[in-house]
Amino acid sequence: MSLVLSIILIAVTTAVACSIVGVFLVLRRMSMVAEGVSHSILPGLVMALVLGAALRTPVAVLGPALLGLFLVLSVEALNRTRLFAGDAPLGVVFPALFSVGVIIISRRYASVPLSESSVLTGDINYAALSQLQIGAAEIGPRSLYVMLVILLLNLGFVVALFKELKVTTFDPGLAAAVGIRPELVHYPFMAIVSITIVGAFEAVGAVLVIALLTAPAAAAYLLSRRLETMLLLSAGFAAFSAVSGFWIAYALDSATSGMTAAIAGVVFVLALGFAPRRGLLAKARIRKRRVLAFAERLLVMHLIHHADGDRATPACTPEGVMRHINWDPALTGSVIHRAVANGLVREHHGVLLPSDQGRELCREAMLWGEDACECGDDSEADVSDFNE
Amino acid sequence: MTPGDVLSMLIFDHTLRTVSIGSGLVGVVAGALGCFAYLRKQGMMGAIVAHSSLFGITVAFLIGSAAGGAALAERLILPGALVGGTLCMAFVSLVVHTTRIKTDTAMGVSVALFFGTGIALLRMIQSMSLPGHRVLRDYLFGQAATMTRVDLQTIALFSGIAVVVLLVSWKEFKLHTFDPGFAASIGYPMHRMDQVLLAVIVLAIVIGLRTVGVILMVSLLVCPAAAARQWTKRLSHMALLASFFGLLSGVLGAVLSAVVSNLPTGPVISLTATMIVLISLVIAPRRGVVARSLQRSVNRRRFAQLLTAEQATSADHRSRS
Amino acid sequence: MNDTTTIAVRITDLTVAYEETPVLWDIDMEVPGGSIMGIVGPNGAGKSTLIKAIMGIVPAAGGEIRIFDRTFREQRRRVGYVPQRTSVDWDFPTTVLDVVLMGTYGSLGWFRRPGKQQLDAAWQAIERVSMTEYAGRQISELSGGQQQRTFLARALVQNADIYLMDEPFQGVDARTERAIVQILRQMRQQGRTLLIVHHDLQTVEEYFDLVAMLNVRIVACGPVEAVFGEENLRRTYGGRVETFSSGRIK
Repeated sequence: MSLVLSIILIAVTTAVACSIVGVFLVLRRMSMVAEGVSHSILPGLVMALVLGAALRTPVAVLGPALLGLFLVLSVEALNRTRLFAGDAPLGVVFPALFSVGVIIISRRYASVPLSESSVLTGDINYAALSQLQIGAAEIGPRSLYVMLVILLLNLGFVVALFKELKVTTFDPGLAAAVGIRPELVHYPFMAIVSITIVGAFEAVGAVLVIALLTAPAAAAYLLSRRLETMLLLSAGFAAFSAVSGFWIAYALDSATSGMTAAIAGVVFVLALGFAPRRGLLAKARIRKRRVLAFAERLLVMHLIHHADGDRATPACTPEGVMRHINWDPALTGSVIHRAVANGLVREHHGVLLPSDQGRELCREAMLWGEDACECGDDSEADVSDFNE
Repeated sequence: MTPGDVLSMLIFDHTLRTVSIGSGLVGVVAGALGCFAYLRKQGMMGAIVAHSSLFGITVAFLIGSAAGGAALAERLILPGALVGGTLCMAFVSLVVHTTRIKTDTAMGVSVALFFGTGIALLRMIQSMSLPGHRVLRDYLFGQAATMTRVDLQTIALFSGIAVVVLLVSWKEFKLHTFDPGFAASIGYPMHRMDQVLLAVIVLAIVIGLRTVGVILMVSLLVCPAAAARQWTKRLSHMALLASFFGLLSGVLGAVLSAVVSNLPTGPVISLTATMIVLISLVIAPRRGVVARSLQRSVNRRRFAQLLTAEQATSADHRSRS
Repeated sequence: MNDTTTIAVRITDLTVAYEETPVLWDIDMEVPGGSIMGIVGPNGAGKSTLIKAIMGIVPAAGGEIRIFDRTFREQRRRVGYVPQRTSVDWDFPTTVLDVVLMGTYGSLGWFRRPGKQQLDAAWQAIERVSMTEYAGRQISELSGGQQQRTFLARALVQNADIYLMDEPFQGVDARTERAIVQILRQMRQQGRTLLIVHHDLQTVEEYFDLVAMLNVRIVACGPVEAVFGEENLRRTYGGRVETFSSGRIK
């Protein structure tokens, strides 16, 4: 297997494995816990290297992953003391664990084959070089196999526990009601997250892994209405980021991991700008339409309100509308024009009157107390959308 | 080396003096402003802003190198970090306000976008061997020992700004943090207040990057505040105490790492700060673990006494009837 | 006060919308000076929003609000506010005295710190709500009723003519509720105007002179005995008020 192919395969497997658990991290709002885990595993990794396990055995993955679980548990314990506000326990614990790792590395005890910079960026070239041998045959980079196993583990976990993951993510209350205990999903899930992060260390280091965990999943979130779609898109974005990240980094003599993360970030920004329903552009368009539709209804409401009685005439002229509703002349003009054109309002000797159609529209709107206007389907899917 | 040696070095060794003044200043400012980050529950935001400032650092370095060489590049680093950190804040707030994506995820994406780009640019700068690029490494895990006069001047200037803004707007920051609705009702511009407060917090983070680094700066922001919170019930005392804890961690960490060769400063400061939190957690009056378990055993004893008294009276009643 | 009672708060054609979804639709109402008016309505009716709109904390999509016939900006000093108790972090490191002192910040301006005069006012207010022995307490150590008293003391220190209160009886024990009502009545006697968001329909007749029944629109607004009846309640709460005569209203 050529070196370039090895690197690309490792990068893609790592990114896809991260992006799958990342979907649930994003939906469960646990991205920052993952950020903590990714820093906390460092002393464990260093110890594994010192002890010579050098990622050759499952122990070298599971050991550091336990440290990730330790972070989760200790942060939860500190939260339970109610002595700290907000996310402070996380901010207190993970830097300390990370610091221990960095200090060991910097002192170069026992000649740990790990530099400070590989902590930040990983060392994918090195990973691609160390081959797995069976007998005398080299069958490809060891890291690739480690990551493939982890990817399969993630897929297996998600497929096997899909229903449970889904219900505990979107509706913990319902989960408890139907007899699924959330913690029975939570801790195994965090274990999977920790293992994935440890596995990804060689390719992306300890700090950048959060980028692969969140960015593809967040971009996918903006573009999908179903959990299955989100998982597929997330994996796709991750693979794309890894491949293009590698080639761009290769061309610019830069770091594959950093470039992969940056591309994933850019993919998110593109989704944020141009997603068909939830993107900023689409929203701005919808909003513009809604503003006018809303203003039109406000005008009709106002006219109905003032159509009868002695307050009618002054309030129902264009000037009155302007003064009462506090609109500027331009907006007043265009809203009146639109309302007249739509047959909601008619003008009679300079006095504006609501038409029957207008009255009907507002009665409907009033009955439901809120927005019933034909503004297109932009009701943003919140997480509950995924339940269908 | 005895503590006496270290003390005399602190006073007479020029480098060590620069290092401890710089790191101490960083600790004081981060401690005080960390209280607001802590009370607004934005500790992790501090971590992400620090990570993301690497983008500003590398871009500023590239611009400086292109425009005027190594000296200019080095001067532009901290202002660049400030821009990078602010961009990160703006990005997170844009995403959270315009989509259903939650803050924690927006923060993660911000690491991808800004820290990822920063790392990619850093590697490119290193491959190009731009003059003076070695200093950039010191911003990753912090290195107080190589702090220069220029660094110290920048730190002093930025600290001064942060402290002045904090002192002038103390009661406004306090009220806005505690009760933003009431603050708005008496005329505090809510969004402007948010922006100013966040800007000063970003400033405090950026000041610390030279000594603590982009990865671990969060420690110096959160730990002193979290520790101080255990000791007091007033914000002013909390801020003073946090400043002191920050000073302690800063100076201790900087001196240790300057004296021991090859030891990056950030981790040492971070560990010191965490130790202070743990100690506070155990021994703080009223809230500390020891105090609370003492209180609990007192309560239990009192309850037991009440119970026996109660039983005695009821037994009394029974025997009488 | 003259016979043509002054209008403390006049709202005309007020519409408030979040992202073009109306939360308040075309509100017209007047609060006469020197009265206590309750605002009632189901959850999501826009009660808190109405109060916030009066103070300009949420922007109005249309309409006008006048405080003693001027804009709120001009009259800011004459308006006091009691936010919902649950809207703040009660674990914040501050004491009762300190919170009450915050009531003076509006009149102090940006640079000045509270001095002797402000301290005196704060102590007086604390005494009036019978919290003197708790003045040095950290606010996390207070009961719900004591927290509400603290907020009330802060409002008293504001020495305003109009008070906007968001559920001042929420999470309060019966004794504190009576004490607070007592203070509110004293405030009215001093000629102050109180506009109070209220949840408990059973006490409306006892506590308020006037009531505004709100459900996105104003259903009814006027003297309690005139408007607070079954028909209006049904229109305000929809089908949700079935057992008014028997008591509890959900």
